[in-house]
Amino acid sequence: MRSSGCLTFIAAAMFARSSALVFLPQCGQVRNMATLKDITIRLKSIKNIQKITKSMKMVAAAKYARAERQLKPARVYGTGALALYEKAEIKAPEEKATKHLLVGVTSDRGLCGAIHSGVAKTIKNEIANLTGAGKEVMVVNVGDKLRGLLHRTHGKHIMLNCKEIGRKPPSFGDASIIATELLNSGYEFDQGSIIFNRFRSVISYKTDQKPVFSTDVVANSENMGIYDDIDADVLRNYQEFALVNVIYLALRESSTSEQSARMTAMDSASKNASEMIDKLTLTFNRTRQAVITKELIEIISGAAAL
Amino acid sequence: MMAARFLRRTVPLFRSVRSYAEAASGAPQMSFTFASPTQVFFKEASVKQVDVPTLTGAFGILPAHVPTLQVLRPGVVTVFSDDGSSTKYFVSSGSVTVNVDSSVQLLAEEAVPLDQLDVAAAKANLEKAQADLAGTTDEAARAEVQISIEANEAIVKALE
Repeated sequence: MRSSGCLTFIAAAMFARSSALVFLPQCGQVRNMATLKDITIRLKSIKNIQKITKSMKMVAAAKYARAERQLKPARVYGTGALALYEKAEIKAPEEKATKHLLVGVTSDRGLCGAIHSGVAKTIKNEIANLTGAGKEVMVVNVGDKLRGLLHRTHGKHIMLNCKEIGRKPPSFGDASIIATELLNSGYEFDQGSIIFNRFRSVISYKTDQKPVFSTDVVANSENMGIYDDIDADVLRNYQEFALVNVIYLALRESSTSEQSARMTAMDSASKNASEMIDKLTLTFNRTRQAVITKELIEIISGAAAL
Repeated sequence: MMAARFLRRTVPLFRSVRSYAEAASGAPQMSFTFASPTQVFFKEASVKQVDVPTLTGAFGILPAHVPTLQVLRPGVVTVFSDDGSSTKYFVSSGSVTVNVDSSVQLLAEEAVPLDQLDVAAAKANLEKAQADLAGTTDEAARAEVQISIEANEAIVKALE
């Protein structure tokens, strides 16, 4: 008690002498180097954060393993669905295609690196290009994060928002709900693309686009004449099914990329936290020793004065 | 010697003459992909024939089939592999694409091998659906019940 009083006096005298420019909100225990209590509080909170990020990494790793397993058949399925458009080389006629559709696939949850911002950036570029060329563009947001990124600046292009993506692994039913809402919205698009993050490996993913064509474009495409015995009804059913399949592929790829990105992000967060803990522990020890030394000096100089 | 000169002069003529069509050079293989969203049954496999049930009727696909797009109805898909054995699967719905290069993509929304289906459960579901049909008046609900009836009937027929 008496020693802390002495400390206060000495600290005040030190600071008063050292600089008049430094603004001191309160004299006393405030000094440039934090007190033991501040460091302890900070150390405890960073240790808690490290525990949280470590456990989030484990959860993401488990989810990633499952997502990657389920991605294999989904990829075969999705590429099968797109095979027709590739082999028949269906392309929308550039001049006539005035209405475009962009479907951005992300999720609701953050802490996964640049997943959402990558898709949002691609969508923003596409909107800029297409509106610059005088085309009409509408956007479907799959995932709440994308809505948050786009609605302020491109709110008038947003047609549809989908929530509750990312909590559970995506199913074919989810894709079909999205496709149904899209088709029921009444927006007669000529051409579109689905923008998602394609999974490449545990540490890398890439933002990719897959095309979506309207029934008219497919029916009028030159190579469609090769295909025998197709009437409008069959083609429409086929197109709707293909749309669901592509959305399903995008959802699966996006989910796998997201889990792997979250795993990486949480891993680096844990590492950063460890580094901070190490540095703070050293600072803590130094501060502790400095405090003890000062107290000793007090006592000794006090005793010497007697 | 004269014969040789005669031949030399006439050889160019032969080149512009019609010739026989080339024999089918090693029949084009069918690259068959059969998958559901959760499972892959065949991936770019070479098979002899595939029978599919479509909305416009059932037909068999062999290599070099004319390109077509079709939508599936609930029914049995039979795959005849190169060694002669056949496997049957029940599909709920989906699409089939036959391309120019003889690749076939059969995408089913749900597909199971026939031996995994229980005929008793199918019959029970069918009776329940038929009873429901009498009770519902709402258009959408009626459509759902009718889909259920069609699918269960197909399952029962396939298993018998």
